[in-house]
Amino acid sequence: MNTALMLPPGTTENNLGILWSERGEIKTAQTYLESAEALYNQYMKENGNPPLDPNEHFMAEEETLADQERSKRFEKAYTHTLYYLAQVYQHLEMIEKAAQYCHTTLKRQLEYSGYYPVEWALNAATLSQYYLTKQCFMESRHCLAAANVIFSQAGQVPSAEDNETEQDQQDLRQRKAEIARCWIKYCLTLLQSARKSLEDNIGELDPDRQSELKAQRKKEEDEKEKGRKKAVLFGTSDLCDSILATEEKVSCICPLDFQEAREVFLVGQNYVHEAKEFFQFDGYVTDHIEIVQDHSALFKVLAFFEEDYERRCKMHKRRIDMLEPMYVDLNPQFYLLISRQLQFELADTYYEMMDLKVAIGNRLEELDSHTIKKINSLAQLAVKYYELFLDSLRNPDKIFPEKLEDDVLRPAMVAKFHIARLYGKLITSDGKKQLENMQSSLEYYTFLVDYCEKHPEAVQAIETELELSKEMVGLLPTRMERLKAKLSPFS
Amino acid sequence: MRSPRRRTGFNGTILAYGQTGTGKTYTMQGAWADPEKRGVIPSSFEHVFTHISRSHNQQYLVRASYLEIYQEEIRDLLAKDQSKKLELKENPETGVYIKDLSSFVEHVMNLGSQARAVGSTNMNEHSSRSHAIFAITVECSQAGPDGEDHIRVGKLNLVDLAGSERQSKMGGPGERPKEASKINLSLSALGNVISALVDGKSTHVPYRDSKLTRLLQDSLGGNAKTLMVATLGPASHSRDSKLTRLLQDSLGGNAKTLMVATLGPASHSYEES
Repeated sequence: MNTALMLPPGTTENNLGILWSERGEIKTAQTYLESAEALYNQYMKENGNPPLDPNEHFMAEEETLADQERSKRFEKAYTHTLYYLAQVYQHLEMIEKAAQYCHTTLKRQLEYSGYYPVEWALNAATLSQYYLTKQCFMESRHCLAAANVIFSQAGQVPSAEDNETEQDQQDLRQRKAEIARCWIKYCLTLLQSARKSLEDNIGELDPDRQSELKAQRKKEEDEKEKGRKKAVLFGTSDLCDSILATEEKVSCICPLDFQEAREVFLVGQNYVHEAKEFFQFDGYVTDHIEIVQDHSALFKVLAFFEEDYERRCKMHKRRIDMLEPMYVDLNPQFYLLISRQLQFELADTYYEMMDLKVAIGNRLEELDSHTIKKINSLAQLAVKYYELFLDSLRNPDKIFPEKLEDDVLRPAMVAKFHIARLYGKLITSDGKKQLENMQSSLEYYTFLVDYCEKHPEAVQAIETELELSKEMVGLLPTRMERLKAKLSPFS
Repeated sequence: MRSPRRRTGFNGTILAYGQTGTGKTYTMQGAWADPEKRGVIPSSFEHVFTHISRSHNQQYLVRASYLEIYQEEIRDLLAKDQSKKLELKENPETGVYIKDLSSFVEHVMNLGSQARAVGSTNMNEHSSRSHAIFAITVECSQAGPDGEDHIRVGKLNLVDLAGSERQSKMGGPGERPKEASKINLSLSALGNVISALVDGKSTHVPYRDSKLTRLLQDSLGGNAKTLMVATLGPASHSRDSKLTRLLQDSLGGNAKTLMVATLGPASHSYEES
């Protein structure tokens, strides 16, 4: 190829690509851009020197560009090609390819073009979230570590104008907190993914699977990992070291026991504190609550790894302590959705705690009155919050909806089911009270069964619960009769 | 601290939606001085005052504010310093609010002329590309059977939306404040592309929320009454924008849509659907 005659591959095709995309012809745009990409690769392979910039043809001899400048513009054009391709692939819903091109664009921004550190860091952090959806923890961690390193460059650059406003400082703090939130999601997703691979069919840690995975881990070669890593590596050698240092602070492989899980948990918890510094409750209600919900989720998933029931209970208690005060301060009129989420989560957590206390109690020879009181109190608190949740579904006239919307169907049914079960768990020596509890239990089980009869499409949302409810609806009346008979001689 | 005797009344929103040039601003503002051509905003004022003037034993306080959302930045159109950007904040008790938003407060009588002054305010420069929200808050104070004053507060949002014609395909969900020209060509919009990859997945990166929907969230759905006025022009295409989808999701089945077709300079036809 003759250098002098050739226009840089990027320019024409890039512009044609843009033109066709604006006309809505994405596939045509794709063709032009991919040909630009191919041309660049071919050109670089065959001829190392940068071609003339198109403007140079119109410049006087002495004004033509130095090789270095030419190279810079050439590479920049190629970066744009990749960037446009990323958009094209995204519109064509070729998401993986789009992500790959976004990643490469970010890479090239570090190597060739200028970049704004804060913006680059945010983009990298956002890209890490995409990798989380694909369970690609190594790539995700790399993006986040790079984000941390590049972001710290922002603070160091002395601003030309001295009037770096309050607003700018504020913005910086906010961006930092947003990156922290991406880290929280990383830790949480990693832990949840680990749980999924370790749990048995009742949601408990399966020790066999645990040993299996641990053995597998020792065998697995790093070779495949190294290959993947090379593909996504950011930056020059000095950057690499800083990024590596950050990466080493947290694992990217699924934790397989409590110790490993706890380490990931602690990293996540640190970022929670960092994020909450900026996103305070008063001012950023929604964001603050989401962060605390993530914190609660971190505790919940850590509890999965904890063998001791008492310690597990304590972890759930931490969740209550962080969620309840927020819930109390919230005006449900303005925060309906969040309010409901909190009600349900509080109910579920109390429910979990009650179950644990029952399990602890079962190991003892006899239930002491203290444990009984505890179990009952937890059960009642769970009922309270499930009821609050169900109440929030009523219309302004306080009537419970005939038909439940899709997004609330399952939670509402689960709430009813759990309340039924909770009434069944209440411990009392008073026969009359026992009968009342059984009656309440029956009413809630019946509601489930009746609703599914009236709305058969709801069945698939709560199959398991429905089955159990039908059983109970069959059993309870008989039990109640027997109890009544036992009590009546003494009435 | 909130007064324990304050209760929230109803909230309402009227949205004018349609492509640029199809008559949204005309619908919302109209010609203030001409009673025949008054738009929704001056008519609302009139309606409020008429209602107030017919009331007995009640004290009213009417407060109005006027803001614009352009490129995800909020400006106070009533402020002296138009360049200041305002922030959206949340209070656990009172919900979403704009920090430092000015409002003019008038006891009933004098509001008329003030309102007209608003009407002649330099309309936001970027009217086809920004959303303008005019909010009227009415507080009604009445002595209750217990002898104490009870206050109820209602809010009416009158929203003139940005032109609904689709943004350039290559741009992504929104415009970034930095490089206003050729957004789709600038690498600074890379963030939009990346966000789009994450959008709709389970992990949520929150800073892409739309300011408009956040601000209106307590006025859409639930107890609020929402009315959407859709304006059409002869060359209207039905192109979805992200905003449309967001609004449709929030409104669900609760919005009544009033169609206003602008057929030409002199004719209007109304269809209720």
